[in-house]
Amino acid sequence: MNRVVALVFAVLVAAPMAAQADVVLSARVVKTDRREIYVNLGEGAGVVEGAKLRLKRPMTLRHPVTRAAVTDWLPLGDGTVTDVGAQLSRIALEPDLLRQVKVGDVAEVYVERTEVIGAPPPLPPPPPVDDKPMPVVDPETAGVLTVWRATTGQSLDARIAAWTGWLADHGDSRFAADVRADLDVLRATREAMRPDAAGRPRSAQLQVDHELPTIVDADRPVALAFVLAEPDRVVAASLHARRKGQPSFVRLELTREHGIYLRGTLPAELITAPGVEYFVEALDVDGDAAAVYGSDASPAAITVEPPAVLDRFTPVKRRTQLTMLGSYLDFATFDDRSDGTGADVDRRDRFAEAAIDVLYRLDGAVSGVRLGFGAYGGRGGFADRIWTAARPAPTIGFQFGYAEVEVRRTSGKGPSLGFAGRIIAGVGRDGFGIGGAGRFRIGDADATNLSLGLSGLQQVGFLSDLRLETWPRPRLPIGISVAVTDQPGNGDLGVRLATDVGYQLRPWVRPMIRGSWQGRTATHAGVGAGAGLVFDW
Amino acid sequence: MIKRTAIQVLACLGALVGAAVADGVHHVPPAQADAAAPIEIAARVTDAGARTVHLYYRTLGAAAWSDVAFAQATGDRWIATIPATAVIAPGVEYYLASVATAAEGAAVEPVDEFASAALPHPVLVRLSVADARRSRDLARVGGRKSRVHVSGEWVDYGQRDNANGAVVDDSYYRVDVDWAYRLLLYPLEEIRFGYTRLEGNVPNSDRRVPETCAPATEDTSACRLRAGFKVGGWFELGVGVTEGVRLDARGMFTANQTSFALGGRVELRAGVADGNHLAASVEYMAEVGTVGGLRLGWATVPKVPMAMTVEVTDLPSSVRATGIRLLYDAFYPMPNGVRAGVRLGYAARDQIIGGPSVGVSASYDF
Repeated sequence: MNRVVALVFAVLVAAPMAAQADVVLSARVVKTDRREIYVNLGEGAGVVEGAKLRLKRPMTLRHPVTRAAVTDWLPLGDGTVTDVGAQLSRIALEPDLLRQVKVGDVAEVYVERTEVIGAPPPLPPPPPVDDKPMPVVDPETAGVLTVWRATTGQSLDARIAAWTGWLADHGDSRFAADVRADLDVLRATREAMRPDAAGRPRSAQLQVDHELPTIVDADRPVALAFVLAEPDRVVAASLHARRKGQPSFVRLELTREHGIYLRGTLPAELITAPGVEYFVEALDVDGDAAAVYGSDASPAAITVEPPAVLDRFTPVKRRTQLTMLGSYLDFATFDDRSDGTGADVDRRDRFAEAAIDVLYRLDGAVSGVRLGFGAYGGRGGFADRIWTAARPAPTIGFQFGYAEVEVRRTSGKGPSLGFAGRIIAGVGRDGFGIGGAGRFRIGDADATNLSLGLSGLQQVGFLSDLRLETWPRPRLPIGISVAVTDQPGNGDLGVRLATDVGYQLRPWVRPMIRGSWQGRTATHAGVGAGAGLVFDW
Repeated sequence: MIKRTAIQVLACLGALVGAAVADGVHHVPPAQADAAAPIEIAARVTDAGARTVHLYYRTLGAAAWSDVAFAQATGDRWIATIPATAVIAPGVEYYLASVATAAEGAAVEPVDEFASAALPHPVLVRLSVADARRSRDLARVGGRKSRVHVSGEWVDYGQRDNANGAVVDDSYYRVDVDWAYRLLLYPLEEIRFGYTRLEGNVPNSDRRVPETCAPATEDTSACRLRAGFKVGGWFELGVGVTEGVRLDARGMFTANQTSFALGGRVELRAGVADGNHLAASVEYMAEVGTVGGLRLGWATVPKVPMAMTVEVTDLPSSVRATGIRLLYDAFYPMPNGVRAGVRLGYAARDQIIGGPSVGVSASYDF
């Protein structure tokens, strides 16, 4: 016991040290609603419910000394993540703060992460020694820079108060004129952000004339044109569009032409059934932005005709798969029991099967149809019987065709689920016979999945199996299965353990081999093998 | 500061433009149009005396522009019309330009008022549902509405015998010749007339040769049955349930070995008959037998569409036991409308004896 504990301790010590590596991620507000906002970071980025976030608005200011354009942030307020999706998070905000927040604002989210901390990167070489003398800053300039540094990242009120105070003491400074101009910008911005400012023309009153297309064909871009009713009040405008049902809009450019027209295009990738939604947002001369045609809460909608059934059969590469597979199973390889006299006896119990089929993959709930041919032959089927000339081992054979339909469910958060149903018709030694098979699968058919299958065939027997398929390497699929069967010929029950290993030689061809062990009793057991080829067109 | 300056500059520009517009052309573009119907382009022209406004249009894909001058409708409302002949799917594009009124003979350059020749405004032109479907269906067959088709097939279930040594073949051949015309009057898509000949020899029992037969008598009707018919005519309707789902229903008249008989065939198919598709069919011919089949066709192998079919059948005689046929078809379509095909297969009524199926086919679309 002590040895085990010591080993576990050694392994833990040898493992890389895990440590907290918390980060602050930057996201964008992609949608504002009546009670909440949405940002474009979700659980995929490590955001969790309850995470704190800080909302900011980027703004461009002039540096008071150099007059260069400088990007700064205006703090809006704090919030807490209430719901987390895969790609988006929802944040409920107080009404006052909610009114200030707009699409495009920045949200900084505090995320706790557990990551392996590696060795720090090597330090960069030291820069060459600069022998030039440091520039001399006069006291007046130093005073302006002190206020500038102190107000960086502060609220508008704090900035206005600080610069107003400086101006009161330095009204005759050579920087005074620029500071006054900057103060005007800050005050105008504060006014624009005040949601209930009285007497100020609202951008919401701006209007555009536009004829809305009612129905369009899928996968073709749609050109839109809007006519400004008050072109002199609009500085710029943008188009926001999304596929119907999607949570967020994408921003698209609107080009202003001849003063009054805004023209843009909904790209083909957005034009999918059941429809596309859009609204237009304009920035007015006061710097205020608002929806002027539709809105994020009530966008304009165009119906997109669903694709015809025929479109699901459009030839596309890698949709067709041809599989050829043959295998041989022997249940008596290791059965060396004699009949009591020491003489060798015939306990043969084996079968072979081969099949070739074509799978055609479809989009949607019906994910594939398959049609194939197969042949099956075997002898024996019993654990304790001895075959003689007077009582030869029964011979079983079946030649058959089959058709299969697979349905798949991929919506929701869980793994994809699939069910394949197969009907089998063929002829055996006793003439025509039928059968069926079903397989329930958890996971993607072309990735890691677990499936449970059951098949039954007249004159041959049944087989049920549990199978795990996975791709431990990109080109190396492996399948492991455990099966129970009475084949060939409705004999004694037996178990089969099989492993398939494939190799993706080229994108269109994958050879595979199969090895198996099977037995009906501890003494009546044997091995099997198989090989196959899979072609993808 | 820079933001305010930028906004002020843009606002001034906007005001200037707005002022110009107040005396100019105001036009709300149409969202979409119906094919083969004229499009009325309306504009508000407030200074019509100072300019003449023209509409320039062309069908999408065309090189040359046509133009028409706006005419006064009421007050400051002016209209110009894109004629129906230019309104062709998928769209038409246009722009508006005006020419200032000048002294006679003076050359005046037109001024763009909405869009431009370099960046015209496209208007989506929609076909009616039936016209759009017809257009797609015709495009799929290269505009060819007729098809003649001939196919021949030899099916061998193997030789059967009995304990006395009597041997009888179990085989037949089938020849089909037909002509199809794509009406495209939805839901009726196609009509088809055809001729079928199907003849074979089979043992006169369900599986083996009758026990009473011997080599000396194996050619008698008690042992060997002549099956099938020499003449069979049929008429088929292809009904498009929806685009991509098709029901073919066939009525058949045959002159069998001893009498006139009826038959029929139904096939339900999803996809393209000559390409990717899945089909289920049942064919019945009195005294001759019944065929139920499932077929999967795929056109993903370049230039060589293929199909696999599983059939459950007792052809060529309903006396015989039900067997299966496993068939593989490959086709080679050529640009001139000719399509050649070969068929290979296996047929068996039990697991012990079976035989090959081979066939060829050809069709010509025109």
